[in-house]
Amino acid sequence: MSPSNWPLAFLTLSILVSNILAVIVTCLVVILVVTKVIGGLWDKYKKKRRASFMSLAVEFLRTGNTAGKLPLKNLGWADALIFKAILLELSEEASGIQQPRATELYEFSGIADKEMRTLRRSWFWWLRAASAHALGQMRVKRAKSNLIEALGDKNIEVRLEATWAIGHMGFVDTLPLIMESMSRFFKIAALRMDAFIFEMGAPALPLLLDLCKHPEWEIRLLAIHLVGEFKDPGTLEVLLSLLGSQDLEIRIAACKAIGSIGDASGLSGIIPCMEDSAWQMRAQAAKQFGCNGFTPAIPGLLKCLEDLAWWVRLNAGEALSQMGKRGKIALKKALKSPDRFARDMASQWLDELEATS
Amino acid sequence: MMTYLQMSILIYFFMANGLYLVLFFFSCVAIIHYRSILQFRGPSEILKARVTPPISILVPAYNEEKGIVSSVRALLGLNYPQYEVIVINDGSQDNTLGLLEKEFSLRRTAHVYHREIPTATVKAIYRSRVYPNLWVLDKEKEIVGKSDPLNVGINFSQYPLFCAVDADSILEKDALIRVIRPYMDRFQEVVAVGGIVRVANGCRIRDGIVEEVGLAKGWLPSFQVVEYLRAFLSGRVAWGAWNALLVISGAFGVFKKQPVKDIGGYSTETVGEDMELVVRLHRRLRKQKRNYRIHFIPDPVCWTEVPHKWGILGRQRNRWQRGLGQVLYRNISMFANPKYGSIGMLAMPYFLMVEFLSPAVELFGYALFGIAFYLGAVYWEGVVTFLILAVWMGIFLSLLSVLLEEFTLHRYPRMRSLVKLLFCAVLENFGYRQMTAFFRLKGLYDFARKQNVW
Repeated sequence: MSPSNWPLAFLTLSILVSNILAVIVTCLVVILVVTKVIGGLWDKYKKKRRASFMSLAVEFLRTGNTAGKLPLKNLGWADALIFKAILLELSEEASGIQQPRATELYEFSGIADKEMRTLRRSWFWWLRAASAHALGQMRVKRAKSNLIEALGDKNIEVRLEATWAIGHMGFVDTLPLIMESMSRFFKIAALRMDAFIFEMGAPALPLLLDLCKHPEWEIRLLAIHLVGEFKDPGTLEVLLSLLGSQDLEIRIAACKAIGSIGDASGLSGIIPCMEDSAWQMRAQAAKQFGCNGFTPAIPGLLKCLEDLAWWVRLNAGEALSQMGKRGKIALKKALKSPDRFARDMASQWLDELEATS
Repeated sequence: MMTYLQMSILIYFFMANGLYLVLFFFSCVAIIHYRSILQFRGPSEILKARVTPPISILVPAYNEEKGIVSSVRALLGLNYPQYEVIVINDGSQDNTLGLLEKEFSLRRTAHVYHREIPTATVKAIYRSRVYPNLWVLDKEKEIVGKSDPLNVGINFSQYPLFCAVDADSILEKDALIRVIRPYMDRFQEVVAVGGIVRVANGCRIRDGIVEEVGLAKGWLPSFQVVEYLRAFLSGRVAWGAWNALLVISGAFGVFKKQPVKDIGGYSTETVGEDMELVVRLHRRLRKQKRNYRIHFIPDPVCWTEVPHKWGILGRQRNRWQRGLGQVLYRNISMFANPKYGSIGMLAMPYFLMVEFLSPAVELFGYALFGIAFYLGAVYWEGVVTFLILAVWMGIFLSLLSVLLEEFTLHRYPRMRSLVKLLFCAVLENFGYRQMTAFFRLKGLYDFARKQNVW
């Protein structure tokens, strides 16, 4: 290798890059040390301030003494951060008169206004989401319009937090808006809405039944799921009508919802589903009969034991095993079936029954 | 000639390291985003929800009598609303099955095994009397490797998602709750989710639970800690963010069952069955033009013992390299094929050029230096400068991963561990990296010779 083979430019570049890397590596280590030190100092400061804020806040929640809250007005950003955490913590445990007092303190300290500004203007979604959550938890009712606006946020987390906040404050009229903003995220939306739909209570039900006929498939699906959660037999008429839908997902969701209501008239309505053209639907219907121990479905379930789809046979067998004495007799009968699949499944579930009895 | 070779190596060096930096940048963004989301989605919410999808955990076990009981016990204690544990005893010659029978009071059931994916014969199906969600399947060993037992587990499982874990790995209590998050967001689209795997050596473990995170006394496992951080935190996270993740570790991954069944389950013809499955999923779904996602979550932790001896490490790396070779070879038509989007144009070229060929290029570089030295044609200034640059680059990339871990996930709480990791990030460049490159080169050679042993 001769020097002429090594372009000078490369040599210079290598040395330059090496030096830059050395400087960056050193800087990174320094940053690590500095952040560790700052973190330690912040923890100490937080501990000290927290103790004094906590006593003031607890005293105010207990007595409602206006003079006690005066030192909490217009806090600096660091103190506001610490105080907000305290208020959120206390509001979780607060009940009765203490809850509006916590809200009052939150408003008085000026944090509520700051949060509403953050929710409207911040560039960072996590700050907007945190603000939405805090406003909901502290039940700042005047933030309703801000929260409704946040339902259209481009970030799903902000929408989720706004949904939660609105639900927590019980604004039933916003339900259609919430459903429209979250329907694409079925599971997480259902999870978040399951949690607060009961806080809204019966007034939410007519709105949900209307949404079961919404033109958007995903909204219908979410609404059916939530209607089922109410377990109100008064909703059966709507749910049974959905069993005739062309859409398999909708039929399955309706079947599940009827099953979760568990009323005999609804369950009778899903007996024909055991002859549905889709195996998923037949399997789902069988499952619902088992969960409710619905014995009038036994003849249909015995037929399902001979179904070509394994999942239908499995669910039918399990359903029969959940139906007590009559189910057991049916399974024993299936042992003599000319169909090998039915015999296998019956023996599997009889074995299971014996082991658990 | 020499000059061209040298220049090629230099270009390769800058290209590979440039790619590492790009991956690191995107990983950083993805991890910060993930950490921010975690503030708003507590585990308790998912635990209570009735819409949380149930999971079947599949545990292939072959001669695992040493740790199977504690592993299964730990799995039975996971925080998750509804799941089943399916241990597949893959024809163990030791007392794996006997121990399970005794410890979990198993009883033989009359359950019917439904063979949707072709597998070896299942001799017996057991269920625990104490834990109704524990099943043990005893199967014949006909094929070496984990694919066949995993396929048996998929056939038998009753839930729509399955999680494949190694029998000697430890899942954190909340691992499933955390890994399920992408499914909760978009169940229809998400097909698979991988989680981070960390090194268990040096951690205090009791009854299958990691009580205290630490580093092993020896250097070899600690080097692997840094290596795992680099691979998972600054590699897979970025690929996951681009929906171009090619590997979900066999030690921990959650898959939607139906798409896996549709492609015939795990392949029994490769030693890298975990990567092969993910690539095949991509291939099928992209061909069908389906809107799908394969995610990687940097947090749900699975702890695994890594080799503490050079010999075992060598065999492991050799197997990984052969597996990678097989997968790339079987899917070579995807390479630089725009039909497969980011997989064809980014991931496949990266894995071929950087992951697969890098040991050959690295060791070829050393050989070239040796030849030049022998010929007396060494230009010392150039060589030394390049070596310094290479070492600084290595340190820089490893250090970035360690710092990313420290600032975001912070799994090593003790200062001593952090300092040791920083030292490892420096020291691994002097010996460890060269040795692993050698093991991988051997794997490459064995792949070329079609050596398909585990």
